[in-house]
Amino acid sequence: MNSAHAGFPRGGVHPAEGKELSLGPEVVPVEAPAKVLVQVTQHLGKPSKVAVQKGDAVRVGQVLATADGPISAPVHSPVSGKVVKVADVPVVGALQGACIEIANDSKNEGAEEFARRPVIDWSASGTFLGRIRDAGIVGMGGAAFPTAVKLSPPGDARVDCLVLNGCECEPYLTADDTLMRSRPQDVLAGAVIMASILKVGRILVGIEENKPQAISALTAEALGRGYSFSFVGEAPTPEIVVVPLRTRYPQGAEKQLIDALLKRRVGSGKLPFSAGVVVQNVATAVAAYEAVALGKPLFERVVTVSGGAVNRPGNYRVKVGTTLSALVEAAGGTKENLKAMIAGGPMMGKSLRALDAPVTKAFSGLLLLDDREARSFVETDCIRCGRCVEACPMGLSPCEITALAEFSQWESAVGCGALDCVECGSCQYVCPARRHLVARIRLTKLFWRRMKK
Amino acid sequence: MEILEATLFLALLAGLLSVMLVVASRRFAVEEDPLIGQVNETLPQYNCGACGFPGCSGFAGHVVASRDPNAVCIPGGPELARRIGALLGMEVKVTAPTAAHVFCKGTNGVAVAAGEYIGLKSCIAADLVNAATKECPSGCLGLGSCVDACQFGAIRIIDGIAEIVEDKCVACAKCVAACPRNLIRMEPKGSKVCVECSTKGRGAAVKKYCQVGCIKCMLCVKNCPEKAIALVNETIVIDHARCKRHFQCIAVCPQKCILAIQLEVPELSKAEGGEA
Repeated sequence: MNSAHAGFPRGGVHPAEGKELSLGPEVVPVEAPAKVLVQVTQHLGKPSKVAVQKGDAVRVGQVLATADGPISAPVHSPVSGKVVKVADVPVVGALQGACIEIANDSKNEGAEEFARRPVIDWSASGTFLGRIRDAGIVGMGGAAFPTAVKLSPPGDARVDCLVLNGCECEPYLTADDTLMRSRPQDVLAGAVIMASILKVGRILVGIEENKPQAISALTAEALGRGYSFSFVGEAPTPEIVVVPLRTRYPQGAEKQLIDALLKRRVGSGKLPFSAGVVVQNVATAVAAYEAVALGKPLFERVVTVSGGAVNRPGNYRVKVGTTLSALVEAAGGTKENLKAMIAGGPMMGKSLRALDAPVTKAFSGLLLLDDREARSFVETDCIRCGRCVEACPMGLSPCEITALAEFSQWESAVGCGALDCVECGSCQYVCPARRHLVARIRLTKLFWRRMKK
Repeated sequence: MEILEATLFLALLAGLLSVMLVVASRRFAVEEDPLIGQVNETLPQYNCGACGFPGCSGFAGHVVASRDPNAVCIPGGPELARRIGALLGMEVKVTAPTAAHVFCKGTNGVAVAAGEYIGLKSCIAADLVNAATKECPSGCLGLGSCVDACQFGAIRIIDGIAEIVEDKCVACAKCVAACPRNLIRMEPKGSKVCVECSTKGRGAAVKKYCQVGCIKCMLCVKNCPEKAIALVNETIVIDHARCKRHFQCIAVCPQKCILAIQLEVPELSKAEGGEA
């Protein structure tokens, strides 16, 4: 627990990491299956509009759905083939969602365009933001907020620092770690591109100390600054500092990371802009680099497949739209003692009932947990031990909020700060009474929204 | 001596304060229409909020002040409406009594189960995280959010689905708002014929997750002599006002999801097993 490195000031937990399971030597590419299901809306914001019809032939990288309005993002085809239909199917995070089904002809027509030598033309840096927007890039850490919007701060914001989020504080997940170790140059190139859009001269990379190889790879890169790609024009030279952080969940939450790196507080209900910071995930940085240097839209990503119930845990490069069942097949299938399936990390991920949903841009990991890892508990009464208060990184009293929520006292619960809850689950993780704290806070937020209407 | 002093002082103080209280109660008295009190006394005092006013006294204050003929105490029913009308000397709208009805019969075993849900025992909380107890996307979750919302104990969970005890239901519609899947609707109280399914799915997709799911075969719509059945917003709905109890729909339904409630179904000629 004791560490020389900085961290966020209060709360947090340190669950068993379980990262060694999936930390293989390299990323394994997965061929797209014969049938891919590309979800129409894969971001937070206004739904995208379908731009193809049944029977259309599509190429790799072709636009399947266009952005509708400023807070939206387009979606591109990960394969070449024919559009079979647009239908509602089960998706991650919702019972059903519209998906474009494509019959993959496995010819990968159009993919050669993205395999050429990458070139960054710094003299045309004014076009970078547009390229990132057109590439359909969204926050790949999980929130899926359109990156171009995050890179366009409001007029009154004075942004002086870009924070690159390489914390990956969720147990089991190693996708970002693998990316940082295998492609440190691309991570930093993406960061420099985003810094040039924001016109900031300082980049801080926050990485937890349990990823020493990622830290050393990025540090060496930041010092050496040798680029693998050719570039035209004068490259900007922002100051890049790689900061090792004390391993503690939820370090990767925006507000906690900003506090840990810069000792700046983002107020209740405020965005990082207000503290002069923009936070971007490392995988997003790589996607931004590929969009600018290759014109490559976001249609594939690295996904961790891990857990005690999967035969070949590891990191896989998969096309967006690959069904989870195809992904599991690529990972060698599941063992008999499979108990729970989770999209994302075990702390904040979403429980899955079936593997028919497709991989999306913000899908960071698939956990297949065995009966030892996923145990269910019986909820008992609160014993007022206060451990949830100690664990809360936002300084709330989860026990108090949920006690009020149990009696439908939504207004008082919101008065106790329920809206500041980031639903990280630290309180529930430490609760000896196994209280369903997060679920009750979610209910509070729901009823509060209904009351406001 | 000291005791006498204290007693005297307190007696004086009490006298003075009582005079002040009397004066205050006379001067600052709020005149209330005695009718409000009388109307309030006739109300059931459930404070259920079905009328849309804060409690029974709030409703009494509103009807007396506005003489609003559309303001109805739903649990009170027609009997109470007539009494309020007599008190206020006006025509009050009399509505046919209704009761809540759950449009799902996908009990455990009939509807395909979907894993184990270990979260907070509340349908609303489960729905927030897209958790489910059954594969059907519109099946009753059976976690009892409606039971929690009902202050009359008129709902119970039997075999994984909610069931309304009509005798206890006062039609306050709290459960209608509590159900995240909108499975509960207000229906005429007493006997009726209902399509007991809310799925928007069709055909084979429905058969995959429920044995008594409506597959939208439209046989009931085509065979109703009164044309009382229609597909509304992807679910089959029976217009109770037009239903003349021919029971043809029950006879033809291949999924047996149309049921006669509190009604004897006669032997049906077309039926291959007509009992509901």
